[in-house]
Amino acid sequence: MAKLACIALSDEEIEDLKKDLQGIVKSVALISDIDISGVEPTTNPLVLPQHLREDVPGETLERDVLLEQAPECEDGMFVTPRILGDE
Amino acid sequence: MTEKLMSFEEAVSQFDPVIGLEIHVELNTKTKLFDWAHYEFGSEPNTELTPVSFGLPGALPVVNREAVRKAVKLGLALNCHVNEWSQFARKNYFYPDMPRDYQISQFDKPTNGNGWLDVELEDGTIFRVPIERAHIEDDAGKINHIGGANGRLEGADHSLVDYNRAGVPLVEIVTKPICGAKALAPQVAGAYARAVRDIAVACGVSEGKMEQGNLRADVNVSLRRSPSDPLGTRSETKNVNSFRAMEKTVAYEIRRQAYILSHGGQVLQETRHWDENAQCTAGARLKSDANDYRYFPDPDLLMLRVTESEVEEIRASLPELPFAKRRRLKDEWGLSDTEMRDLLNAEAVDLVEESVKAGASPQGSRKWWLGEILRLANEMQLPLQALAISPKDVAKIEEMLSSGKLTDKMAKQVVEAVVKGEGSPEEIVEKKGLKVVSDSSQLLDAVRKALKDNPDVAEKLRQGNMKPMGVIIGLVMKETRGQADAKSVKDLVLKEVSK
Amino acid sequence: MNGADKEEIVTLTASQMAEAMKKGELSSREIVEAELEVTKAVDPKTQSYLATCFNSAFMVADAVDQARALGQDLPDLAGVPIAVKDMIVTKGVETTVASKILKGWVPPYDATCVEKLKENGMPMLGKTNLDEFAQGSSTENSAFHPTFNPWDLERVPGGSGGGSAAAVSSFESPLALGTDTGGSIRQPASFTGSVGMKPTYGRVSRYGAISMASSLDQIGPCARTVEDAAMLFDAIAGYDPKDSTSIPDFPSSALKAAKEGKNGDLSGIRVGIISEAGGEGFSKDVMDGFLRGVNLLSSMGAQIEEQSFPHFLHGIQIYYILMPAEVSSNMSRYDGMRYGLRIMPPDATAASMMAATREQGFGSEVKRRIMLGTYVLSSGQYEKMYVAAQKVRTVIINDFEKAFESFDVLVCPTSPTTAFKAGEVVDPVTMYKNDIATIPANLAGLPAISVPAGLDSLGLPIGFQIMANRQKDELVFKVASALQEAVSKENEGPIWNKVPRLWKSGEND
Repeated sequence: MAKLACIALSDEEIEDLKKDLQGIVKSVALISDIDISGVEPTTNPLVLPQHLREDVPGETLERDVLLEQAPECEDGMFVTPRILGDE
Repeated sequence: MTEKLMSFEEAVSQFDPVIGLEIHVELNTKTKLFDWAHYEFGSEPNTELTPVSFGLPGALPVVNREAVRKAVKLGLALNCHVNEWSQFARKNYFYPDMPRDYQISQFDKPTNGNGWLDVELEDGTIFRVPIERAHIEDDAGKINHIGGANGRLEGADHSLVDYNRAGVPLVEIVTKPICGAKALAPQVAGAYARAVRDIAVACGVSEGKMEQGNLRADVNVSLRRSPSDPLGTRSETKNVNSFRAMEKTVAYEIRRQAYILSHGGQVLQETRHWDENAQCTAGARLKSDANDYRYFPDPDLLMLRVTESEVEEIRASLPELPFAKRRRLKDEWGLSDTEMRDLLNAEAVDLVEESVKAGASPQGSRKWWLGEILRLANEMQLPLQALAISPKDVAKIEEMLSSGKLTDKMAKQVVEAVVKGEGSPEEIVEKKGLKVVSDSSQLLDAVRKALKDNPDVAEKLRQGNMKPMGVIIGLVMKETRGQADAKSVKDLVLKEVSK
Repeated sequence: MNGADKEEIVTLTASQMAEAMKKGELSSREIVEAELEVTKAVDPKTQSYLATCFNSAFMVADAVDQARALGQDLPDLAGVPIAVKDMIVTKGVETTVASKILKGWVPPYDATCVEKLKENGMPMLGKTNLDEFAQGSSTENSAFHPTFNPWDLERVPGGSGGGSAAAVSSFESPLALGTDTGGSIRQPASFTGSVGMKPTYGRVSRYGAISMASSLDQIGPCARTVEDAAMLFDAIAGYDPKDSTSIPDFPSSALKAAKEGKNGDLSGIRVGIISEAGGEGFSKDVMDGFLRGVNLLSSMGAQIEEQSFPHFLHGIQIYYILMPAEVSSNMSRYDGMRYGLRIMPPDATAASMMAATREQGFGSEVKRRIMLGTYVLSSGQYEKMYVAAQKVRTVIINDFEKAFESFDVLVCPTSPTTAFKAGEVVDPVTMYKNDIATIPANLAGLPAISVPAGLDSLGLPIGFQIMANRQKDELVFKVASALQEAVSKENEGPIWNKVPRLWKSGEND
């Protein structure tokens, strides 16, 4: 789970989390009595078809402004540590 | 690491291969799928970004109407059912080339579902490939590996990310398991991918340039003992970027898996890649044991609606599709199956069609494109389309040839020069002073001189032995600096010796 | 400028400031100067702001004053200053969401609502504090410092938008922008005796509001009066082609509605009391204050009836499934690759760098929600938890739809209690319960407002919540305005004006 969420959690945090998960499982139990047969799930409270954008180019960001904020950059690109690990 | 393989023939006699292809087609819209940035292959890194495609906090996606239209057009050309309501979903995973660390794709409600595509195999048979879906999603950025050999992931000590490509619209076409191809499985994979590319180009929805990554395929292969068995464990070979490589990947995987299975082993469900240098597939990266993408509907985007009337409007705009077009052209041009297939394999159908439109004869332009021009293209290691010669040039050269202004040999010279970018056919004829020597007195002199200088040859010819004819023609050609028409020379020689 | 002037200026409402500027009695520069002085004195106590930007505020103020001197036609709010929750992206001004992971990040673009503030000539005074990534109900979860309640500095101002609410109620700014995912505008308004309004989902563009839970988030106004909130709403509402979830073609007229409400005539308005929001957990003081408010509505001609909402209290249960799911995905982009914090562990790989950055960059509440969300979206739980919760969301929406056949507005206390003491609530589940009455409006995308209904026995403000059907934001303003007017009469002056003047030494410090 921590790997999926990409967070290096400490053991203590993992312990706390287990408790929280139990809490959430409990709250799921609380809604399990509600009759949801034949009910459609709601993803967004807006019930409109989505409006689309016309295919017209617009202003883009200045690269220097982006690179200034980057933790590390090189040759106009963003540096990432090596991708293959030992795992 | 060399893996043990079974011979292909043995493998397909013992096992039933099942393949699946996921082809990503990059759409050629002016802007990206969810934002107003324009994208062009090869532009300066990280200059084609907005807050949306760069994944800045607070930025929101808005879907490009043209991308949806193009995706639907492609779906219709692949005989898909276009769903009136479809939905974008987030595919969650962390990777440095993904600005949001989730891809916006479609999951259980794709825009195009359930299609098929008929592809023609080398022997002329038609194989129907079933299509599961053709959904819309956005592309990731590009990673350049630094410090490793050949820019590969392995051994790189760090990498540089260019996010320009992030957000470019893709249609991912996923086949259902393709069964029953047996030994033809590699061919089916290649022919299918070619057909998809041709359709995308014909529909005007993609540039279809493999070398620019406009089309990328993931190739799945699994084996089972018999067609009645359930599907076996499959390998997934990612980002196979040429049609040949797709065919080779399928063949290699069939051989590799057959060896494993026949030795009592188990095929690992893993991600592999095609290694062009080693001509084999290799385990690319360990597919994370916990690879759970946690798809869920993207709450930033509402349901996408494509009405029936929009679908019909798009359907009406579909061009004649390559498969039908080829049948028509074959008949119109009076080509044999083999001739047509050769054109197809050389990807020269459109070039010949354009040449014919420009006035060349079908047979004539076919011969040029598959003959001299293809030879030069191979020499230069370029696709036909990338050469400087155009169908119009071919038509012009053909015309000069048939009107007798050029000899075969001269025409070849012109073709070569045009291919090498030395100018238009007219310019080259002018520059090189290429002109058929039609002044018969000048020719006759040369013929007489050649016969006189070689009395023994002349004698043989008089006796009806035509073998040394070439010697005389060669001498005449030399005399006229190659500008004589070989047929005229031959006629003159015959006339002279029969006197 | 002497002390009296300063006090006079900052205690004006936004509408009064606008009016005074129009008449030439006051300049925008004078207002910003007064706010600067008050902020200097007050902010060390409330800690409402994460950062101020008075220099650029003065530039905007001067430009407005000049334009006015030239007789140019200006928007109503021109020259009225505003504070912006640090959850909203501001070009060139550091935006941190009160998180270490974004510390130092200077956005290269403006949120749509910030563009609108600029178009309206409103000087931005600063960025207000919040619970990290708006995740919390007390503004104690800020990575930088907590914010304190101007009514009692030992108490919390509510959250997540405690900074905006405290700034407005302590006169550090007449107006502020907030964001509301489960009550982050309304609950702090309730705790600080101010007005906070969450618009109908889709009426205010979310473009540039840093996403917490995309299907629940809305930007909204924070102010001392309903009229001011309505003015600000009119300024920021409207269709935005950059937000796919923005409602097209729907002009707003909230100010007009708020002015109508002031007349005190609510005849014909059907008010439903949500009977479930009043049981266990709701303090007696809060219920008393709430019922006094209901009586005032009734005295203005509204028809009052109690209405049972069988699924109202289930809202919080599904909220803590749906919200973390969206949070877990929305928080993914903070990975140390492109902006913000990067932590390099020894022999770092891309994956270990990301994991270390996220471990150190996020606070514990954010991490908790990311983990919960990852869990509910995981393949074993998705159908059972996430999809089931989405279906219950539909059930709750249906309940509301049915109720709005019989009622124009629904009312309940904004929060079960008045402001609690800092450090008093440590258990996350108890903390979550603060939002039990505000969450349903987010789930259904309804407009909802909190206005003060009076003070409790400790002299702390009590919030009264009014909800209406989707796109009936104007009605919410109208009823709230009527109630605020009536409450003012009953209390011999507006509640907001009873807050201690923190710039005076000895007052509540």
